[in-house]
Order: sequence, then C-alpha cells, then structure tokens
Amino acid sequence: MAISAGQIVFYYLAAAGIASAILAVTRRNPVHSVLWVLSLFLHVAGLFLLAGAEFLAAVQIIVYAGAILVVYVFFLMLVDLPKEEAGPRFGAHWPLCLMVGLGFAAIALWVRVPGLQTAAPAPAAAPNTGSVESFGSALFKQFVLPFEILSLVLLAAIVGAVVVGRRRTEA
Amino acid sequence: METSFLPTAAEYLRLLPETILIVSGTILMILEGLAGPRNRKNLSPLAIAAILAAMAATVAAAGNPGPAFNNMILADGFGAFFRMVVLSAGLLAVLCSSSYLTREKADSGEYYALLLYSMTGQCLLSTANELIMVFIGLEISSIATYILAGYLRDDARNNESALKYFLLGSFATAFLLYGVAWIYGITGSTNLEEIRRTLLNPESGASPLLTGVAAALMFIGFAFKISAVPFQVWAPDVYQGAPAPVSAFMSAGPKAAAFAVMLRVYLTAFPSIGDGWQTMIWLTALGTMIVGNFAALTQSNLKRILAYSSIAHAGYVLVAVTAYSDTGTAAAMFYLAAYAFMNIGAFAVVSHFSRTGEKYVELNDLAGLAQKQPTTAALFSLFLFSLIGVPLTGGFFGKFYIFKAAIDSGLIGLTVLGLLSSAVAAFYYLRIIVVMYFHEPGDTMDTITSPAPGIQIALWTSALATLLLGVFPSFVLDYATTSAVLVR
Repeated sequence: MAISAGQIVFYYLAAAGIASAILAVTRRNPVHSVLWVLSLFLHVAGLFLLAGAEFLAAVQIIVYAGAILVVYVFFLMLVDLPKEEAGPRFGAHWPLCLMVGLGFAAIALWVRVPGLQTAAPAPAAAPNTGSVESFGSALFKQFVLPFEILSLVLLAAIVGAVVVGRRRTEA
Repeated sequence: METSFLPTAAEYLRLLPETILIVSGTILMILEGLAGPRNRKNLSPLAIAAILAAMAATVAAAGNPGPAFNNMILADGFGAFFRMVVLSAGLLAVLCSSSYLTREKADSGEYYALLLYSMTGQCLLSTANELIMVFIGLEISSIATYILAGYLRDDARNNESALKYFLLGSFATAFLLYGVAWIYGITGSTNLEEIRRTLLNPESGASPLLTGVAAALMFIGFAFKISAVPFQVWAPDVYQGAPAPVSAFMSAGPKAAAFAVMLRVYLTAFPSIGDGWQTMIWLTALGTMIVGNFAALTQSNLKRILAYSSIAHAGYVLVAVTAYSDTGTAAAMFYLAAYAFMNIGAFAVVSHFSRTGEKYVELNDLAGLAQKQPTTAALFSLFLFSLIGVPLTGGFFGKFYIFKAAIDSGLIGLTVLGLLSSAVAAFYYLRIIVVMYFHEPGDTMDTITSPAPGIQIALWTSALATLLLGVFPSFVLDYATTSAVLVR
C-alpha cells in the first residue's frame, strides 16, 4: 500500500491541526492558547491549499490568522492574566462540552461511512474551483446581491458599536 | 453558457422595498448629524414616511412577481404578504417609540436607522430564495435587533437583555449555518429550488438520513428565532429587559420573518423529508404551547406575561406548520398578521403605562386603569380578548383556521391539546382585565398621563386591524390562500 506524498502532508496537517486545537483549549495561559489557535489556522490553511483552494487558504491566513487573532490578543490585554492562570481550567459544564465535541466528531466520522456517502455531485464543471478567477466571477456575477447586501451587516454592526460604545451626553 | 448578469428594471423593482429602507436608514443618520441635538425629535416622521414608501413599493413589486438577481430573491405573493406584516409591525413600533424615546431622553436617529435595517433583514428573509440570502437576512435582522434590545445603555436590564439575546442568538445562527453547509455538501447547491430538484431526483444519491440531520440543524436556528421550545429560554428575559416598543417589534416582526423563511425553506426545498420532520415539529408545537401558557400563569410582570404568551402563540403557528398543507400555510400567514397587530397593541399599552424608566410594569400596577383611562383599558381588553381568541377579533379566526387546517391534516390529538392549552391561556389574559376593571386604583394611577399622539395612533390602528381581521377575515385569508400555493 503506497502512500503518496500528498497523503503524508495531509495527515501531518490534519494531526497537527487537531493537536493545536486540543492544546489551545487546555493551556492555562490564554496567550499560549491564542498562539496554538494561530498554529491551528495555519494548518487549516495548509489543508485548503492541498485541496486546491488557494484563495481560501490566503483568506484563512489574512482574515483569521491576521485580523481575528489580533482582536483576540487585544482582548487579552484587558484580562488579568495571573488571575486567569490561577483559576480553575474548566467550568462545571466541561463533561457536557466534551460530549458535544465528541458528538460532532462522531457525526464527521459517520459521514465517512461508505454507503452513506452522498455522491455529492462535485460542483458541475469546476476545474478552477478555489482559484481566484472562478471565485471572483461567482462573487460578482451570480452572487452579487448577497455580496452587496453583506455591507449592510457591517453597517448595522458599526452603528451598533457606536451606540453601545458612546457616552450618554444628555442627562 | 454566457448569460447576462446585469439585472433588469423589473428585478430592481422587486428589491425596491429593501432599497428604500436601507437608503432612508442611512439618510436618517446623516440628517441627525446635520440637524443638531434640538431637532432630533423630528426624525420619527421620516422613518414613518420611509416605511410607508416601502409598503407602496411592496405593493408595486407584487404586481410583477418573479425572481430577481440570479434567483437570489423571489418576490412572490408569499413574500409580499410577509413584507407587509414586517413593515406594519415596524410602523407601529416607530409610532410607539417616538414618545418613549423622548421620555427616556434617548432620542436619536440611530434608533430609527437600526429599526429600518432590522426590517430590511426581515424583508429579505421573507423573499429569500437562496440559503445564503437566508443567512444574510437573518444576520442583518438579528444584529440590528440585538442593539435595539440594549438601546438604553445606562439601564442594567437593557444591557442584560441585549447580551443574552446576542450570545444565544449567535449560537443559534451557527447551527443554521452548519445545516446550510451540510445541505451544500449533500446537494451541491444553496438555491432552494435546485435543492428540491436534487433531493427529489432518485439518481442524485442524497441520503435521506443526512438530509434529515441538515434539516434538523437548520430547524434549531429557526426555532431559536421564533422562540420555540426548547429554545425559548431567552425570550422572557429579553422581552422584559428591552425597551417596551422594541419588545413589541421583536415579538412581531422578526418572528413573522423567521416563520416565513422556515415555511419557505421546508415547503420549497425539503418536500422529501416527510414523517420524521412532522414528528419533530409536532413535538415542538405541543411543547411550545404548553410551556408558554403554563409558565405565563405564574408571572406577575406584564412584559414577562406577554413574552410567555408570545411563546405560546409561536406554538399555535407551529401547529399550522405541522399540518404541512396549503391551508396550513395560509392559516399560519393569517395568524402571524393578526398576531402582529394584537400583540403590538398590547405592548403599546404597556409602553404607555410603564412611564419613565419603565417603573410600572407589574400586573397590580394596572389596578383601576378602567376608572382613570377607560379608553386605554377598553383597547387593552380588546387586544387581550383577541389574544385569547374570542370571536369578532382577529385572534379568533387565526386560531380557527389553524386548528381547522390541523384537523384537515388528521392532527386530532395536537388540536385537542392545543385547544386545551389555549383555554389555560384565557386565565392569565382575563386576570389582567380583572385587575384593570375590578380593582380599586392605587397610587400608581396618580402620575398617569393621557397617551402620547403616536401611541394613540398605534393603539387605534392595531385595534382597527384586529377588529377588521375578526369581522372580514376573508380579505386577508384569500390573499394568503392564493399565495400559500406558491411556496410549495
């Protein structure tokens, strides 16, 4: 049974990704947790690259590893780190959370069971799936309305942030 | 295959209501900056004008129904009906809000802008023909509503309400999104009609089991938005904490839109799930009616009573969804329209009566209202009678059509249990009326003023609509019946 180089890379990325995720949840120091999340994002980006979705891989790194993680780090600056580290690691609900997590893992495994596979018609005629060109063309032709309307989500969120954040001036 | 992706004029017309709402919301915010602090009070007429224009646009768009923007939305009769329900709910909420905000010294353009954005999201939900649009519509509607629930940010209850709504709401949306991802994995599409085609095609190899799981995941997302059991826990706390006009809007607009999208997704995209799906909704409908009605019995806070009652009413509509027939869909549409008016009417009374800082929201504070303000008490009683389902009110025909549709579909057990639980509901509504009419006025009546003009208009409009729906239900029902067929 020959194992191709692609498979080796895949299993490395998958295993390292899962390990990073577990470490991110179990580390005491929140800063370490965030760094493990970074490692998780990078490995997931690697998986996307392996699947031929270069654009998605780039977005994963720019948006998740770049922007979202930075917000987490900013947020950590507001936290009392020594106190966080001293506190109990998990809340009282952790067995429940573990069950939900394992449940999702079970679903993911179950989908792999042969016979249940849904011969999901590989999106018709998609030689370039994931390439910037096909992605952009879908975004600006077929899906132009959702793309434009999404800006309203951002606008509502910005207005909301201003409303929540401003000081009441009238007394 | 080279198709033109440039939308035609008709397609723009089909999106006109949303366009009007977005543009006017943004103009409102700009005007507020230009007008300066003194003229802030004058912004609500602009919001009202915008909503009326959107209503006119809805009517215009309904004259030429069809898909728009590469089948992203489908502006049909069903969508137009729910657009009107959402816009009416928003209009009444704006009417109640203006005096409320002045009273709480929180007048500002952002409030109305967020309300208009929230309505935009709900209008998009009513017409969405594509799961991506469903998700985006839900997000716009939810984000704006989260903020509105916590609009009076110096008020601790407002903050609690907004935070609870936000955290639980985001969690529920994640389930919905996960379900959408599954559907895409199974069928390779997010368009409702294409999903239907793939699922009905025996050669596609779509596993019914996986489809069922995906439908269930999406159902969790919708069930949260309509506050169905077991995802109803947030509703009493959020409705109690939010400003009263916002609670009024939340209980009508977003709920109607969530039902609209739920009906459309299940009727259009999942014709093949069948029995498993019906059992799931059956249980949810029964649980929602029972939990809502029995929990309301022990409440003493008016807003909490109305919150539990709104849970129970979601249960009634779910009975119509369980029926899974055209008459069921039409009954659900009629009920949601009637419910929007009677419930906003009831909340308008609460918003008038509670006074600055919402001091008086307990049941006993209402003692003797009938002596001090007979008109307000009479209108409140009308809304409560309609919520009970007394004949000559919209609530009666709403319940009648729903349970009739359920019996036609052979759901005898659910109908009997539903009617029993709505008999229980009569108790807590009647208790409010008894306190208003037969208790001596306490000192809570000393500071009461006559209702502000906006609230008066909202009260009379809701009362008129409730009576019209109760006396001439066929107007609305006929329209609902003809357009219910479209989503199948």
